[in-house]
Amino acid sequence: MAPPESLKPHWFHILLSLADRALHGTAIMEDVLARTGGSMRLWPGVLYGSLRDMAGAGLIQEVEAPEGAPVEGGRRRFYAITSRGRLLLHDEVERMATLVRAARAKNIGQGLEQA
Amino acid sequence: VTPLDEGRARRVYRALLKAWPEAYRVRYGREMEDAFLALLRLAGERRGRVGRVHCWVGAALDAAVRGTAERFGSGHALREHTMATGGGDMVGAFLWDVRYAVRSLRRRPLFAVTAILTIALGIGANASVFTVSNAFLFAPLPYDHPDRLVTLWAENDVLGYSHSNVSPADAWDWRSRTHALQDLAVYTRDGLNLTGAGDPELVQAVRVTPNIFSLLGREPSQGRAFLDGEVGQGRDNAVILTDGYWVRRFGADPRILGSSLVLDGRTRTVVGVMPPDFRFLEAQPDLFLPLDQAPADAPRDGHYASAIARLAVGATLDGAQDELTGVARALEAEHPDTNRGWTVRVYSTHDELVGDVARQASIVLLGAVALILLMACVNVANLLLARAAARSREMAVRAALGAGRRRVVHQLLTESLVLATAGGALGLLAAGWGYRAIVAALPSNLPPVFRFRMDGHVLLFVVGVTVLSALIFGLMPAVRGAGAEMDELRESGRLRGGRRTGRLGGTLVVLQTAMSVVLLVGGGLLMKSIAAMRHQDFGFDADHVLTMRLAPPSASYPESDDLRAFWRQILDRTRQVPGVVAAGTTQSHPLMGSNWGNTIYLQGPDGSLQETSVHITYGSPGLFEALRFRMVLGRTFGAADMEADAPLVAIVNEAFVRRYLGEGADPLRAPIMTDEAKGKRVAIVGVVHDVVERGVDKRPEPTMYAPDGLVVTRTRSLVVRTVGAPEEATDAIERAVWSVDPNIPPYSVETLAALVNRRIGGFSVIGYLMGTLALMSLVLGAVGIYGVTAYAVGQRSGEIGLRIAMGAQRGDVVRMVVLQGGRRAVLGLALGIPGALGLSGGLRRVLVGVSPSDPTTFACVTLLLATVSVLGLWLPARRAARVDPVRALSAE
Repeated sequence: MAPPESLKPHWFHILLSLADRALHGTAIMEDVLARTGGSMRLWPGVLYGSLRDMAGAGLIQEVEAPEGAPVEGGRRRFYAITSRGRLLLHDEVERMATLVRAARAKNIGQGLEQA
Repeated sequence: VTPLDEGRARRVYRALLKAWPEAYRVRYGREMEDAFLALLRLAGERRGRVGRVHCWVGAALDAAVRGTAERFGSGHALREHTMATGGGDMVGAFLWDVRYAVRSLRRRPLFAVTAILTIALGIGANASVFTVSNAFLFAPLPYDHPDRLVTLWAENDVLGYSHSNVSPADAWDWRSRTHALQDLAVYTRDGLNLTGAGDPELVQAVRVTPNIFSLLGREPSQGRAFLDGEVGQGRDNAVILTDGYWVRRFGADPRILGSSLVLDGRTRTVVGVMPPDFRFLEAQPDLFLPLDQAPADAPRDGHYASAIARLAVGATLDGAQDELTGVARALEAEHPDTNRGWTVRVYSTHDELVGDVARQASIVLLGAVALILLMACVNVANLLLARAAARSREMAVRAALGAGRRRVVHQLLTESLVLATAGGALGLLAAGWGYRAIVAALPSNLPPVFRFRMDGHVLLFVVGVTVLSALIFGLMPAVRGAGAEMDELRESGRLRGGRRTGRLGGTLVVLQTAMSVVLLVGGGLLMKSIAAMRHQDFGFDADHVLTMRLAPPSASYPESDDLRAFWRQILDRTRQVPGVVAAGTTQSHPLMGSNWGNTIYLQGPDGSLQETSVHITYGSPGLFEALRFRMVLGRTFGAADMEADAPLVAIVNEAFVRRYLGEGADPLRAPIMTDEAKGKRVAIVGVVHDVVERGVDKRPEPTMYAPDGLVVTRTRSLVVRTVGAPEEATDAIERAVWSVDPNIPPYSVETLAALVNRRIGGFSVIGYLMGTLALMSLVLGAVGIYGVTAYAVGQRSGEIGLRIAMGAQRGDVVRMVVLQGGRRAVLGLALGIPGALGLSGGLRRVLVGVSPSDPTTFACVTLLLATVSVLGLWLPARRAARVDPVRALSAE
């Protein structure tokens, strides 16, 4: 396998949000915001542009709204991760883990955990 | 956020959504609104108003960038770009970078302070000089559509006049016969004695045609402008005050309109006051009067007025010039007696007011401060390069975390931007003081139309310069830090770019040395030029001389005989004052700034008369003695020469003899025919050594001195030589004047030495500024050389340790380091000298008594820089040679 290009950070985060459940756009945005401590804001233009492009690349797909999902003010599109998306996410996490191991081996770990 | 706020926010965001194409909006618009509102709510909860503002800025950027990209189909390419730079949230990433930069700078305060001060120096110098240059070069004159204002001067090639005053009669024909000029106004300057209530005072007046205020687009703020019927002898009774004079003399009396003033013995009425911010062209008068002679009635051969015109909409300067040349030619044909050879030249009023010296000085100084800024940037770049090595671990962490090259460049650039912004803010503060210091040193006779202040242009300039310098000093280390080394960093977590960094630092040192040469040569030449001006042979002795101007009014002294008697009495009384050695009068004393010329006829070898023009100074007996003019031949004027029926005599200067009589001729036998006495022979009775009269930067030109009796001038300077300090005799001399006529106020009372200083003043501002900049460049250059060398030898401590371990003497190490650095210095000098020649060519106009390629200056600069370079190399080299080989090698 060719060495994977590092995944664009917000694609990575969108995939991560969808890893265990289907979500609509706003929920993805909120999830990413919470996970990154407020540092990654997915602006609407970026978010929906990405969702469209990721769906085009077969990493995610539009799905029916799950049972019991809150319907606030109108129908929303829900997205779920595809197996291809899951594979890519897996590779990315592996790649990061390798890097972290390499850094730790050089005693760079402590500073990292503090940050 | 209340529901009401939310409704409003939704509406505003809906407007932003218009940036996206219709189809996209239909599909995602509603959900994007929801997403944005959620974002807004969260940001508000987290950080209050700041968060919400941030959110709106981000949304606006998002709409601008993504929306337009979708619309124009370049969405894909652009998306790739923004994604690669760091995950979509550009604003957030930027702010994060800023926070990070501030934090990391705070951890290294010495580095941060050094860098910020260096930048502040560069930006402060730039902002100061730009504030002053801006007023000269770019700021519009304080009139309506000032770009359409033109100044007209008369010119006569036959008689050798250029930039001459115009004949109002001619000017009025230019006005009526051209289409390119929308309007034209004529004015003259005049001094009048104000008597009546309070002390007598000589007021500076400008006599104008009534249309001048509408032409400039500035009307009186109180009362009215002049009427057409108010021009002409006996009708010129209306007065318009400038605001400054109204405040100074009348305490801003609100009932001033309609009150009477006695000027030169005649009662006139105040009809208007100009606004406080009104400034009149080249010098601010106290008041305005209508011309005492309608232009159309003026004698055509009287060239005594200034003319200003407004180009018609769409007309050009060249077009106006062509049309006016045609009119001047027609006038020449219509009035051959008076207009032979006379034509007219059109200049931009702005250019005329600024003048060559101020413009060239501004450009040269702007160039010089740009070099200073570059040098400062180079030094900061050096600091950053050295620091990049120290930060290799941090870079490794970031690389390990998957930060892309672009991301790291962004972060490093942000750090530079933070440094530059801090430096820029500090520089701006310093410039607030710096430009005032420059303005305070500017000559006081500068046109009042220039307003020196830190306006929006200056602010914009500083912002631009700040960003530019951040790019200059940030990009090099940033690209380096993120470039080729990135892979290396990922591999080993350690930067080994020391040698390459050293090479880049070396290149920077070469550049700095070259820039230093340019600035030092410029500063050196200017300082030398000022010294040359100060120590030139003026032809007179300025020490112990007091000058003052007196204007006996025509109402009290109508005839030549009255004037002759008045001035004789003044001289008699003055000479009786204790401590007065000599006293004389003249219509214009040296360096006063007047420019009287006279047409004379010289008899050629074949007996024919040749018409030419020379400068003329009318003087009384005692004048040459008071000024200590040095006679080369013959005698000075005596009392007998002043009589109305005395034979006509003249004294000429050496330049006159050289130009018109030739080396071999006997000047005392050459006949001159003057214009006033056509046909009468004027005898040259003496030759005087050349006197610098017209400007400290101007070579003496052929000049003729005639006794005051030949033409009886009204307003004259009283020139007095005293035994002690001339200031101490001022009161006694003024009392002597008042004993002749208590209604005559002496004005422009000044020592000649002070006048000389004032004249040199304008040039010395340029010189001292250049000198200061040169000194700055020397310091920056020295610091640069020292820094680069110290860093390079630090990097090479292992190698140097090895050399010493292998038996190299410490002297060898010092020699090696100095020689290697010395090559750069030599290269820098070689590059700098052609640059300096280029700059000094631009200085030609302001250099006096020193050649732009003055070998002494170039040699001194070379020597100075060589010394500084060696010193900057030797200090770190010596330290390197002290390296303990064991420790240096074990560290490797």
